[in-house]
Amino acid sequence: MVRGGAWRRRLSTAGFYALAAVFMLPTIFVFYWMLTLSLKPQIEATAYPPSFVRFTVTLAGYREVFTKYPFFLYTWNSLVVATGCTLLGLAVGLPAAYSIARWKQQRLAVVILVARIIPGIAYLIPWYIFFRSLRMVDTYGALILTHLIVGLPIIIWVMISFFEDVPSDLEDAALIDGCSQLGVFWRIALPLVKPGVVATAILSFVFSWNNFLFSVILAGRQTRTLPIAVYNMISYEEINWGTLAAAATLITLPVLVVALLAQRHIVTGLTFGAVKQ
Amino acid sequence: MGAPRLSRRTFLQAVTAGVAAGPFVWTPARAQGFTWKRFQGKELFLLLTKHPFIEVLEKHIPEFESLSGMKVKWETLPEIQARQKMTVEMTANSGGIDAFFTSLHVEKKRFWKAGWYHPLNKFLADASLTSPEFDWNDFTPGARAGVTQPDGSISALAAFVDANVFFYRKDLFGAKGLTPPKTLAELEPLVKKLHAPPATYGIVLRGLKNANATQYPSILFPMGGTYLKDGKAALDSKEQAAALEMYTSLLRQYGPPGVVNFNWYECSASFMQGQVAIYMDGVNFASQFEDAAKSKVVGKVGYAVLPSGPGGHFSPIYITGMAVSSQSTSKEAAYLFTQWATSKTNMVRELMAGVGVGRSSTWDSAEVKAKPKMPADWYQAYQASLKIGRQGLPEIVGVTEYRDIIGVAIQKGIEGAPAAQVLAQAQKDFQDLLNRTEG
Amino acid sequence: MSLGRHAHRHAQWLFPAPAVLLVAVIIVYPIVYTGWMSLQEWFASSLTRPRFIGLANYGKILLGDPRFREAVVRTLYFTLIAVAAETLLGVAMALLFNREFWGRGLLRTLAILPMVATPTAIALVFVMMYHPTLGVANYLVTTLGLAPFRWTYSSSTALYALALVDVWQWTPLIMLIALAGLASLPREPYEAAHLDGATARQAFWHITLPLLRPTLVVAILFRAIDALKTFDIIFVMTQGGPANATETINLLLFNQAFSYFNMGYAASMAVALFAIVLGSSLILIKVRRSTAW
Repeated sequence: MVRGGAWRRRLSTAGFYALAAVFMLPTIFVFYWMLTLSLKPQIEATAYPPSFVRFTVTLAGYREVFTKYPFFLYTWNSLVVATGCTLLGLAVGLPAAYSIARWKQQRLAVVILVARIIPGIAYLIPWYIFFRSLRMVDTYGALILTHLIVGLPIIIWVMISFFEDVPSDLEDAALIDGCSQLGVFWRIALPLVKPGVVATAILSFVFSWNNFLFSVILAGRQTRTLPIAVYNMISYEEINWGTLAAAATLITLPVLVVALLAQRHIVTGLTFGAVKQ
Repeated sequence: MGAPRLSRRTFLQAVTAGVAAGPFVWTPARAQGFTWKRFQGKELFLLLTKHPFIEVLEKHIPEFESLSGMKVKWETLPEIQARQKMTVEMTANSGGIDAFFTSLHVEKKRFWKAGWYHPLNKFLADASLTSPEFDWNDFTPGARAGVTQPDGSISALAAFVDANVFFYRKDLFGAKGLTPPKTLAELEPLVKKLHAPPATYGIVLRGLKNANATQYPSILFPMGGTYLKDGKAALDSKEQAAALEMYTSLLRQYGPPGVVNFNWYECSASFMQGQVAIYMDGVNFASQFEDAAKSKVVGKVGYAVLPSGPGGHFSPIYITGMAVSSQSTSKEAAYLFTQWATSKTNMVRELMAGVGVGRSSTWDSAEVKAKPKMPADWYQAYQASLKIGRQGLPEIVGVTEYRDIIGVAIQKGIEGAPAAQVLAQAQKDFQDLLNRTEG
Repeated sequence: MSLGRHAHRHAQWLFPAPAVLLVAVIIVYPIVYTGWMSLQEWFASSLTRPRFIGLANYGKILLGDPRFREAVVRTLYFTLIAVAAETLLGVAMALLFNREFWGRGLLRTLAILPMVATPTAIALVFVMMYHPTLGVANYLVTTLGLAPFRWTYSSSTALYALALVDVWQWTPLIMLIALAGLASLPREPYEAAHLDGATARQAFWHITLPLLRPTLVVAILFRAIDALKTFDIIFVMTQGGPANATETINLLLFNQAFSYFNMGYAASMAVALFAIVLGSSLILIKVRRSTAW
């Protein structure tokens, strides 16, 4: 019996890793391909049959990314805007999600969703006029506020589900003990929904990081963000594959780091065992 | 400034009268009073497009800054994003753009009707604003016509003139003892002989809608077809059907698989990887073909003029230029920049880098002849094409929509629909568009 | 019973106020502007003012523009196949990765990579991968012994090829949310079920799925909203072609505004797109409400 169990376990572990590999294959392949593109000279980038492992390695792509563009400035700008928009989103979004979950304020939730539903193009001209009149074009403020439109709805809506799962007995118990509503929110509800907070923070950060449309219109030379650097690899008569892939690879790195650090907080097997039956 | 005010005013009045009367006529003005430093200290903002002309220009902008004492800030974006930004800013009346790079084959009438170009006629006539060496007449007649609107106003200074030429693989031609076709009738048999899939495909042309509309006239014009006749849509003519049939059947039979959605990058990638024998497109792609880091066919590419046909001998040309925004608060200062960007000195630099320009003198300049960047037949083909150049797209407000209309018709044709059928629909849509947006 | 309602009535309004106000301020001007513009005829001219034409633009969309109607059908179809695939794959991956294993953090982080990369860059990489004679996709396909595909280079396959890119890129979104949802599932129901002798599959269908459903529906909601508005990949890879085979509403809308300068008409299309997305969202919200506690 024991032996059978051990074999089965080993098989299931092997099976698990095999399955995981299958699922991850498309992801890994495309990124591997992008990585090789960033290291290949232009002539080999479009060569056929494609070369997977044996090719001339060149760092020209990366070099060009750093010399042609103020890449560090762009990265810094993207970081400031994404972090600012995520923090602001969490600061206003978490209480809102809690309230909507606790007191069933569906209509407010829909109002917030509307921001995400409006086609991005419809924002361009009115926002430009709006921010220009406030002299906020080419400022972090304008970018953070507008990127919020993409991040805040998802923070709120996903967190509503998580807050709904917090048992009300727990909160009522705390209120009876004299805790304020804010205290209940901060000390009871919030810790229990940590996985959700992490997931939505990652999403908000990523969406802001990749946002191109708003940045083209509202960012100026000082606040230009990373996606624009990628776009600029496309010129009138050629697509600079090496530099494009290098830029694309470099752009994913900071977010990877952020996600890796945050992932540790999505813990399995969180229990609600604090409630005394 | 030295010149008596009275005589300059009367001169300007005379020129203005001349503008109202008909096409702009350049009369050499008195050479005093011009200085680059006139607007010293001013700040300019430019919206530029990612384009080989601009790539060369950007490197020398500091030279302009020291020449004029002005501070120049600029933003370079890919064409579509640049136009998007332009639209947003001009619609919002921001006044934030002083000068911009304009693709006239797309924007000419549209921007003119929207009042976004500031007419440059007065500036050109003003001796105190235009350098004596500028010489507007040095620009080719085609370039000058390309930047002038029906009412005579000049919307931009011509910078880059793109002509369509015939690229071919000298080695493949040589192996079979072939020479570039002089007429369209010779084209198909030639393509057939060279077609040897999967190693070599006979020909590649753009298939992607909208993009294909700039290459399609390479066949349309020589076949005697055109887009407009007396202001009315002319897509249902016999010649048009024959041209569409030729374009689409060439691709259907001898083009690489998937060519129906090929934009220039798929086309040029196929050509540079040695998969295609013939490619007809804008002359600008050539600089990559001769770059060993990018192309497998370096030294194997021949350049020739497009074949002629029963309708004549033409090369579709497309012009881009430097324009001044009507909302700029420093129009004269912006004009100085546009003038510098299209000056003889700068144009020579451009041609030496392999970018074709709209000035005649540049082609004969000693510097260009001394250090040619491209093979001799490229210069020959380019110059000859400019001589038979003809505006490839109609000069109408809805030109982008026209490109989509004919573009979709071509795609449907490539996928097998009969030419007459798709053209009938295109004709209807085009005339509808004209009714809506012209006049 | 609920002491919350008694104790802090003000919290109901104080808590959501900053978020709602922020959103309202940012979106009110665009809504008014777009609505007003949809009733005008204007070609972005500095010389002529917009001309009021009432509901004529809407009349044209609904009755006079077959291209728009086709775009609507295409948009809905694209959204359906993409989101369905993403949901199935995303949930499967979340279930798979919801356990302790070596390399867990790294693997889960890699799994979200596709949605992290700039959509435009991914689109361009896929363009080259999809190239019929030079691309690696057909290379792999032919190595496996199949005939080469046309991917985005044929009207019949283009939409599916694009959906594939969308699925590749956005499945991680569903996976991420589902994973977080699974991580906060309570243990007691599972312990109780195990005591009652339930199998893993029964536990999944009767405990996991129902508990996960509200969170999952929100994930689907957001994917659906974004899929209906898909723009980047289509614009870069096919520009709506071949022959409008991949033209969705958002693409048509972009063309009308920034290529044809038909501002009023574009605005009315934006309103129509908004209505479609809002309608779909409300349906999904209703579904969610029926599954919440």
